[in-house]
Amino acid sequence: MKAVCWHGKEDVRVDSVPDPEIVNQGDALVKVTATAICGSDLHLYNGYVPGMHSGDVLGHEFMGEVVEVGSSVKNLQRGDRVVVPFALACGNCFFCQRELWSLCDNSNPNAAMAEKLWGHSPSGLFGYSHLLGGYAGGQAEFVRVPYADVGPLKVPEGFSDEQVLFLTDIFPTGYQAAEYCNIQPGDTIAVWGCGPVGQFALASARMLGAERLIAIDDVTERLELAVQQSDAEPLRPSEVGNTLQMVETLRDMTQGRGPDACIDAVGMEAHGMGLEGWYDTVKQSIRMETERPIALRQAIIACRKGGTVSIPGVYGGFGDKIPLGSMMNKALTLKTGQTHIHHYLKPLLERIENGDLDPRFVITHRMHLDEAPDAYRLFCDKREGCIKVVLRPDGRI
Amino acid sequence: MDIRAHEERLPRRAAASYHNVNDQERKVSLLAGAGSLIFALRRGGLFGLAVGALGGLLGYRGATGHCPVFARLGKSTARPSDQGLFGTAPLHITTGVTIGREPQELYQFWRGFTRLPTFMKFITEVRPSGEQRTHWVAESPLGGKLEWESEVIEDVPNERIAWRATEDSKIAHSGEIRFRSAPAGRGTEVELDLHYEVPGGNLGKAWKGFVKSMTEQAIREDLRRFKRLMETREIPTNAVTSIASRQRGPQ
Repeated sequence: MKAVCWHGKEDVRVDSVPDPEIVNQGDALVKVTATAICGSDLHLYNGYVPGMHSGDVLGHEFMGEVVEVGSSVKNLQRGDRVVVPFALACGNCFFCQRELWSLCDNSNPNAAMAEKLWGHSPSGLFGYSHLLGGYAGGQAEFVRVPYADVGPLKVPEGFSDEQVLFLTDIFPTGYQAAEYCNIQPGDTIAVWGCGPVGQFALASARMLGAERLIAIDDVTERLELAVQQSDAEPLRPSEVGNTLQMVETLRDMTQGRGPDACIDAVGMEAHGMGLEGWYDTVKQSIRMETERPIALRQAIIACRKGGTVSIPGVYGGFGDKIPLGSMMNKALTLKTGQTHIHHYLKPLLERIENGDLDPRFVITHRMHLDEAPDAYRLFCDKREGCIKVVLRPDGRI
Repeated sequence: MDIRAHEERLPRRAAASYHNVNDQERKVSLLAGAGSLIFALRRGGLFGLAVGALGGLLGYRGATGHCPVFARLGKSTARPSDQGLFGTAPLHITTGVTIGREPQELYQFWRGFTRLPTFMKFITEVRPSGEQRTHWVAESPLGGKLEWESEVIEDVPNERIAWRATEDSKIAHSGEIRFRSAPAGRGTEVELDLHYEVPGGNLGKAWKGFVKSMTEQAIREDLRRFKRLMETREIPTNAVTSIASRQRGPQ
């Protein structure tokens, strides 16, 4: 079959790889009808996530049709149309039973690797490094989906692929980030990064009753989309300046209070301004730190006293100059983690059904799976107004 | 029964019939052999050749612990306390895992030992070989096969099982597994004690540390697979085909 494979920094190719099979009896095989490139795939593309091997199949946002199930699978059968959460969860462990699906104890075959870096291992993820399981991803014609009774959600009649595809990651991820903010009437929420997750965080914060939204990004079309879709107030870091100036600007915009909650939807590859930007770029390039945590620093210092900093952005290792003093003395709450997708599938499908949100608003590009290398380039460079790419193995657009 | 109480009875070293030179003599032989060889190479000539041959014999005697001359004469200086040139070292490992199942279920699975190869990476087969006895086949991490007999020395249903390699086994090993209810319905705390006599006791701390950490890691992974098998009825794998999965064995 054809699959999008990682071969190194900024090197993805469409390769011919062996077709997957049922390996464990709880598996299903899914023929992919639609898949997408996630902002977090760009961290792999740019070579910042450890544990990638040449030839790894990428992709963790995918949906399709069940073509085969293992003998112990009860909830699915051939022909079912499903969306598949990007995190693998066994459904039986301590964490799954508490709906902390992305912390599943059992789904990462390489848990020992993750434990060395993080102390404990989160769940395995599709197509997201051997550190997180080494599972072949969904930017392919077929995918082996373990724990098929637990993860995949059957798509009811009447929804198009594009309407439900983002239930696999970015919609729940943005929603969870907003939910973590515990939004109260009158709250102002500031969101760093207006890529797809930032867009869904803004839209979800709006649904959850935020009074004001501030969208922080430097890409014009992303700011425009945030304004148009979520009625956010745009803020350009390049016009504001360094971290101190960003904090002052946000304080001024909120008459001294600061945003009630701040969402870092940027993660490890933030672009800083001036000296701070140089500091992190140099340190990261010589591997003295693994992150450029500029958005996180700003989110912490800007946040109102007693407020919440919610971090859907992906981090991998160790960041410098995290303002712990600000965090402690302002009594902030930090909420973060990979998204517990399984928990949000049904409620958010209902949101889509009710018309609360049409997730298609983020799609800017529809391409054939064969064009994945170009799609990655386009998305990484944010060229041609690229915000979200949907890839189709059958080329149907 | 405490594990340290019965390890006293473990055979200190594999009994090898050809072993007829004691440790002290082996060291002397090895040194003398090396000296003779150096002398022979420098001296050369017929005398050198003779000394060289003697050096070779001494070196062989020292390195293997077997003296062909003694064997011919039916003589042996070997002592039961011999540990070989590199010695052996006791290795204790205690590790544990919490499994979201009842102690009874875990005990049942472990008991009889025959199902252990499903999650133990280096154990390829365990089969019953008598009352309370099992025959174990392992793949050595260094290559080759290891086989030994094991006997159960304590068995408290749903609580603990202790075992040890029998005295005539080629390896010195004992172990105990305990199952105890975890608080507030969190399943079972499983604790595993293992004891081995590993080769290389005279090779220093770094070697012993290395062996310990490698063994510990392998045991922890075995227990992790045990947990996964018990909680989910399968062992997770990222293999995309069943052939690839079999080649890799338990991951």
